[in-house]
Amino acid sequence: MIEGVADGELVRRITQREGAREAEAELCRRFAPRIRLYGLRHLGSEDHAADLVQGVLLAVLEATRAGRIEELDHVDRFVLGTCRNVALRVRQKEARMKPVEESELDVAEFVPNLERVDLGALGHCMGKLDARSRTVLVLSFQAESGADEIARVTETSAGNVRVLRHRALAQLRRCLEGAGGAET
Amino acid sequence: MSCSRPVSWEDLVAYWAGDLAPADVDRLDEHLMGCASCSAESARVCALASAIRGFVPPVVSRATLETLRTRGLRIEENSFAPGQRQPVVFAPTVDLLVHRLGGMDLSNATRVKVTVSVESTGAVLFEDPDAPFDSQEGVLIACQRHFATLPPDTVFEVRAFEASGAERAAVYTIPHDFRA
Repeated sequence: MIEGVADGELVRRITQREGAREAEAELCRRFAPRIRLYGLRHLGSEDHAADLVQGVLLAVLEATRAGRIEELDHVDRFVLGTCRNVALRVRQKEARMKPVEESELDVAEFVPNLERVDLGALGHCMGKLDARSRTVLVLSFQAESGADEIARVTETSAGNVRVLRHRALAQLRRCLEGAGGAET
Repeated sequence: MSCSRPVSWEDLVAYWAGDLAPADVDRLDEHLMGCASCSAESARVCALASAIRGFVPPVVSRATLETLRTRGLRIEENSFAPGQRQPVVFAPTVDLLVHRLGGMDLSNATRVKVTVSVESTGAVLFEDPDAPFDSQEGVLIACQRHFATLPPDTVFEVRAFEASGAERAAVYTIPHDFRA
């Protein structure tokens, strides 16, 4: 089962052209969701994250085929370094990512749907939070306010805001799981 | 798929809230890129954070409403007086149908509680014990398309609390017709 094969062995098979096609697909399946998350966190949009997945996977596959991955067991470091470089280019708008033929790499095949939260269940569960917790979550993730600013608004300390935030998100998660509000 | 040094929930939440020092972000990026189980947990926090980002609360302030309008949401507003029973149609061309629940003296209110229930059964759908309000305008209900899954015969109770201990309440009955 290729799912249980170590990253380094996948890289070796690609470089040595031994079952390379299957190994490449597994490498993409493994890293595409992580690259996408990196893109969402650092570039802030689904479109940029999708572009990042495309650009990084292509670069990683090309490097692997060419035997340019030096640390076979740490291909993740190479992937992250490539993510950082491509993300920097996207942010600086210095260069657009190299356009690719659709047939060359079908990224969608490797990116599972992110967990989708049912809006009705979310409203129900947000309503179950106390007012301050709800405010902290909305200010954190909607207004993108920092802990110090939220602390001023909610008249508490920044440390307490951080505690309120992770507890409220955990409560929200439990409520959504209980309500069957999360769909994959 | 397990991790010998899993990233804590607190750190993942802080990571997605943009509340970690750059060096800690780098450290987490490195761990998440190499760890399938922590990455899967991070994806769950990401999903919650992005759902909250798009969340519109059922009771909104005027400022929130204007922010949503600038984001391009198509908003239609209508007004209701205490005791009024008035059906509304949620047209397909509208993203947000805002009910202005007015006609109450909220000038001395320190807190307003909004309860949404089902007219036919009395079941409570939603409660906001500390809802945003405007002493002139009243309370703004942001009715959203996904509310179509809820019973359509809704009753809104607005209860105002004053520092003196006085309470006043008003009820607005608004049956909804969600057009596809």
